[in-house]
Amino acid sequence: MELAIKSLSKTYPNGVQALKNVSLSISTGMFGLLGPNGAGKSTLMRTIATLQEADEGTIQLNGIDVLKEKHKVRELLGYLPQEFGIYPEVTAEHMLDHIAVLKGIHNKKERKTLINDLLHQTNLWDLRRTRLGEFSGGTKQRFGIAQALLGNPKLVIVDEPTAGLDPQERNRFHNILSEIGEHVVVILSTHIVDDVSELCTNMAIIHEGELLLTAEPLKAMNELKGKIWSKVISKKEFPECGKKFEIVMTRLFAGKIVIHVLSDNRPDDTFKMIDPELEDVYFTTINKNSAPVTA
Amino acid sequence: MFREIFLFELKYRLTRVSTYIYFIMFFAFAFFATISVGGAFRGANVVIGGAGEGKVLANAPFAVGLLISMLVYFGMLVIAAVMGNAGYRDFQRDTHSFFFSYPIRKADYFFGRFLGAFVVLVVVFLSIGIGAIVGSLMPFIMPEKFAPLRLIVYVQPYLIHVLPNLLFSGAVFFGLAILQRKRMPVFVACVAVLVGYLMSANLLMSLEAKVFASIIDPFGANTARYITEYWSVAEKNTLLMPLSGVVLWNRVLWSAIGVAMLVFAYVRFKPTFVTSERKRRSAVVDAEEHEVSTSYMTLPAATRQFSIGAGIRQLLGQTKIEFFGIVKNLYFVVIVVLGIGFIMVVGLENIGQIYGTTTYPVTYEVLEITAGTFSLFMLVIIVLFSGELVWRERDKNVAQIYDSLPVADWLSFLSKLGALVLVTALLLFVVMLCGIFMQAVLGYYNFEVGQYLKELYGLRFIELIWYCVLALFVQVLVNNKYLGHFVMVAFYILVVSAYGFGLQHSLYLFAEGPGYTYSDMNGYGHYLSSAVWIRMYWTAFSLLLAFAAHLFWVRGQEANLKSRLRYFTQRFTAGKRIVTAVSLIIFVAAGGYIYYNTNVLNTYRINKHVQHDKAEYEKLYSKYHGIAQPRITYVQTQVDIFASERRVQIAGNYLLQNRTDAPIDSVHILLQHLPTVYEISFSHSYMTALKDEKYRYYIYELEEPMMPGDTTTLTFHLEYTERGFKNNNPNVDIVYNGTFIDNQDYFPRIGYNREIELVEDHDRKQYGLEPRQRMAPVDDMQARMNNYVSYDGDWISLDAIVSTDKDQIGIAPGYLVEEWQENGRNYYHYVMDHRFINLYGFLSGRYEIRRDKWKNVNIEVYYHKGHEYNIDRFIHALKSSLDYFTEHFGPYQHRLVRVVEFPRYQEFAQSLTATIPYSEGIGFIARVEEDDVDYPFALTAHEVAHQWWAHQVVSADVQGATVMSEVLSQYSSLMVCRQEFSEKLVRKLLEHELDSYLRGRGNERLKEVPLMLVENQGYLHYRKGMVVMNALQDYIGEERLNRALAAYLKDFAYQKPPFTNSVEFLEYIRQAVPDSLQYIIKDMFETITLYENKAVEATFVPLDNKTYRVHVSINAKKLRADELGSENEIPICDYIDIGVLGEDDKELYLRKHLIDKPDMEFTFIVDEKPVKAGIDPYHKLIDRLSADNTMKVEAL
Repeated sequence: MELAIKSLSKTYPNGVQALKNVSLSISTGMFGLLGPNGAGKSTLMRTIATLQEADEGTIQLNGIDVLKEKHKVRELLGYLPQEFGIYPEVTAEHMLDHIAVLKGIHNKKERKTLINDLLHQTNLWDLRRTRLGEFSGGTKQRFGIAQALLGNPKLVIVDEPTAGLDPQERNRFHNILSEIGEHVVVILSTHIVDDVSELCTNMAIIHEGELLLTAEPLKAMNELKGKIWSKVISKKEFPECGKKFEIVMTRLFAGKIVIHVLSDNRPDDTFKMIDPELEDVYFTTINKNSAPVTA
Repeated sequence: MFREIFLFELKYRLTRVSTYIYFIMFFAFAFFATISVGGAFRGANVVIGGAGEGKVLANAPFAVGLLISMLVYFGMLVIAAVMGNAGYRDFQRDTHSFFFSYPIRKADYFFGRFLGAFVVLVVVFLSIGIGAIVGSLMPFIMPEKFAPLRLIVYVQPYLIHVLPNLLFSGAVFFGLAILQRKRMPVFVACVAVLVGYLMSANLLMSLEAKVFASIIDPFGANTARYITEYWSVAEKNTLLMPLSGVVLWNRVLWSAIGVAMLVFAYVRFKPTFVTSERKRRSAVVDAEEHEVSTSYMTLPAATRQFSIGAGIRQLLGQTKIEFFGIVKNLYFVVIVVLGIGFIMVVGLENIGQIYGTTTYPVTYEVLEITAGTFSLFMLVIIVLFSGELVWRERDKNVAQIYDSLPVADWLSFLSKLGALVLVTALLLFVVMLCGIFMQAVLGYYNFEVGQYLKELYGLRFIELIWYCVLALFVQVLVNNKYLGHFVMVAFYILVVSAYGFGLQHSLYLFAEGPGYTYSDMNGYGHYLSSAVWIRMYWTAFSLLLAFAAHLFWVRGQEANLKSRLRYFTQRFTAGKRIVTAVSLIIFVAAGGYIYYNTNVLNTYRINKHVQHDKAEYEKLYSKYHGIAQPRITYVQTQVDIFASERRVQIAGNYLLQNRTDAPIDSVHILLQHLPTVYEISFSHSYMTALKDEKYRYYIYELEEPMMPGDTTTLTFHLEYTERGFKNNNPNVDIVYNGTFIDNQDYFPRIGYNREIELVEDHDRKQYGLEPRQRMAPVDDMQARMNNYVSYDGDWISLDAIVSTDKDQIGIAPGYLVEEWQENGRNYYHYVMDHRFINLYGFLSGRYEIRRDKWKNVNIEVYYHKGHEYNIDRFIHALKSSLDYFTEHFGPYQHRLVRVVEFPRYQEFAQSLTATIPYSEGIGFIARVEEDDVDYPFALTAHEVAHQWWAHQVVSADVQGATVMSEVLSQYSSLMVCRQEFSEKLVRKLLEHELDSYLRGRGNERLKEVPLMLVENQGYLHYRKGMVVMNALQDYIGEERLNRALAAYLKDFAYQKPPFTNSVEFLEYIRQAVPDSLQYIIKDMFETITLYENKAVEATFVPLDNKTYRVHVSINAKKLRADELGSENEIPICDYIDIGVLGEDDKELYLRKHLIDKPDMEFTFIVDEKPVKAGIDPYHKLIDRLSADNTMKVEAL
């Protein structure tokens, strides 16, 4: 399975350029699409999911022209939108059955087994007779993944799936995704760096519609090895540091500020070298392309 | 805070496009209504509150009030949208969680939102008044249809109607929205409120419930109608709605209810995030989900199919889901239940009400009422749920999941269309069950299920499918649910009103083209083929619409024009192109065939064309009006009716005589229904001087003039053939079963016919014609040379052969002398040897015959099988009438009287000589219950009376002509009814006539005249005629009056020209009236006189000897009205009944007293306990408020 995106551009009628000449190649496994809110992630995801048109560029999925042969794409697709609703009056089981038919699974027995398995795997079995309107955020999200996985999709797109989940739910969700990612293309968009570092073998960083980086998370982190320096400072010191050093990111710790600075050499004695995290990669990439960080 | 919220609501609304659209739409409706009523469009027939025709002005307070209140009524949908939005917007957008966390007071939030929406709505509705004012100032209107602009006329309806209605309905909608936090309840309430209006309108129809209906109408429209029901034209033009009495009470009541509901909603409204119930539910689920499974297996494989068959299975499944989505929707159920309730109320109340009596609930009538009333609900459901269907996925935010599923693009649209169509099919089934249920309730068990199925599923269902497609199409294209609703409503109003603007061709009137009428006698008859073709045409069109809707269907996130066009090109595959092309071909072909029928085989003629032709005809030939022409004295004819081909051949001879005292050198002939002419020739040698084939006016010059007394024979041979179908006004005389043609329309007329001239002054003006005298003055000697029935013959005799199809019977007035079969056809030879007025007709149908005899007179009733209900009544009425009339007026001139049924396309009964054609729609299916006026009896007696009044004595063609025909027939019928009916029923009949007269005055188009000058006005010669004649016989006595009538008849029967007039007639009455009462002739016949009589006080004291002394004070007022109804009080010096009534209106005391002062008091002793007392207790005089004539007598 190979998804090839070439020079994709999209401008909305209000003038916002959501995608600028994005080219990307994605193969089987978990692929993380990382970027701040409003970076163009969802636009890209929806375009791949056949829900939106691009102004320019092509998307190929194993030789299928995604922008034209939508139906063929949909046959291979499992999609979990960033925000979605449910029919509150329908039960989970009924709804999955309905969607399964729409996904072309007409054999009643097969459908039944598939849905039962899926309900078990997403841990919704006990809730299968519950009306969707009574689902909480976490269960609703699991239902979302269940419907996406119906019909053994070869391309799974999940858009910001962990936003709003508690750590336990998120963990559970990651387990399911990584399981799927072993067999098919899974594209996960998120603004949470940890999602990507925990799950993805490949990633891309997108910002203001531009693709800034495609890399394997480990390699990218390795490239920054020896260049990230950390120091704990007080809030008063921050403005001065900001002028003196190239601050990659800041983090509050016990009321003080931890800063990460990018530098080939140790800036001064007070800094200590640390192993780069994916966040350092992320912010380094983003910062190169936008205004400096201020506190 | 309040200010901020209020202003925010205003500003929010002002940023919405819809606000401006509403404003412009209402402005446009008011503007176009005003200018079209004001005569801006030639041939348009738009009437609002009587304005637009006759003498009611286009900016009469009455018409303006009606226009504004009507449009605000239609604006209910806008009120619901704006108020609903103000109430539930924060819940819909999930912004309530912010708002309710802010430090604002509940009152500020609640009333700020409400008042903001209220003010916006007031501004939107102001556009109606502005539109009407601007319309009235346009240069292209007819100035005589407008009074000078009075601002108060436009302001007052806002105070009386708009603001209170807005308060009430706004409170309902806003309260529902903010309490329910949803939109749907608002729209259901909207439907319920609209229905409430229609229901109270219906209640108003039955006479007793008027006050009640006026109070319970939340919009006060019925109240206004009740108050103005007897308003004359002058009053409509000048009076503002009086803010007193029921109007005041109604407005106060409903404003108070509005305020109360607002307060209720305010108290109940809780500015909290969720209702407590919901919270508990989700808490339960949260608690359940702590078990975590960590065993992940791979999923089992499942076969997936994307074949066509699989697609169809998906379609069926999806359709089922969409269908049950609607049917299980609570609001759907509510609307349907409302609809059923409405059908029941309207149906059981209304099926065939004439004189307060019902007809049998025959299937076509039940269908017209049930399907007719329910169709409004159908459209509401289609419009509302098309929006719900199209937006279902997006509203629930599941569109992204649905749209990315591997299903065909057509699945969504087609399943939604299928669901909507299934819903209408289900509703039609409900209609059928309602109809059958009602028939059963009314004790009628002839359930014609086939007829139900044919009508509902064969004809109406198809129209509803078009609406389903259109509504979805609009929703898809507009891509805004509420705007979509509004577009549909606006579209519907436009299509429905287009007819009035002369846009009448079924090729462009979507689902509202000229309809059809079902008749038991003739089935769908000649309407069927056009109905089928029109259905084919619009169905093909709907297919195209459906394709367009599918091609533009929004799938995915983008809905702008560019992506829509992209969808279109991507989806428009070869297969679809072929089907589209085929639909297009069917559409064009069916359209072409319809056009061929309506415009090529037949002429497409709407009102405008007819008017134009009439005007041209008058301009060309009115110069010949009144020139000397020979008279028809004898008619010999053969009429061959080919019913199955809708073809009639008429051959015959007129014997023409010069009855003037000058020679006649040319004969003018007019043909009216555009026949094929095979022959027109004279026994004299002649030459054709003019042959106008367009208006069918021919002038033949006789080589030798006809000298006074000379005769000549006119021979003619004509054929009338109906080819294909017409767009509108099909020929309903020549039909498959129940043909009825008369000589005045289908036989050659001699001379210029003034009766077909353009009548209305404003129409005439548009064609440059002078205003027309409706009738010649009562003493116009030249006009008196003609009788009013026929201008080209006086008394004639007839010899007629009628032939018809072998399964039909042919009838002509006269005695059947021979009957035979030839060439598989039936032939009948009729002779009418006794002279009669020049009016005769021919009928043919598959008749059953009932025969009876009165003395030496044969009685025959020709009726449609199944319509046996009232034949005994007809025969009884015929016999009773013959008894009474021969005893009191003079002998019956024939040995025969017939009643013949004809189809219900026209609803009247007509008295030809010895033969009474009677429409199936009246009388034949009447159902007379114990307490009902037996109107088939009364009507039959009226028609029999014409054998004396019109067929023996006939008036000249001048004002007052119908006094001696219709007024006297009404009187004669009343006297026969008096012998037959109880006093109570006679009074009921008379009350109905009085009510109809008073109502008729307000609809007068030219001028009301005193009865003796009646110009063929139905509300005068029938309605006032019966009331006046009843009073007259009450004053002078039946015997005395009948003697005067008999004397008049004896002196004037079968007279030669000049013919009699009402002046001569009144002389006979005058002689019969004692001197003291001579004034009544002036009041009744020579002027328009009304009374305002009432009881002021009534008390009684029981006396020792079981009698009672009653004291009553009355107030009397006598008024004279002019021709538009302006009134003047005149001094009273009249003899009027003063009466005391006991239980059941029993007469305890009743005598005429001289009332010579407005206020008088009387004291009587009566034998039984008095109940009511007052002046004119039995309403013999013309008084608009009868109810206050008597009052309850209180014990002292």
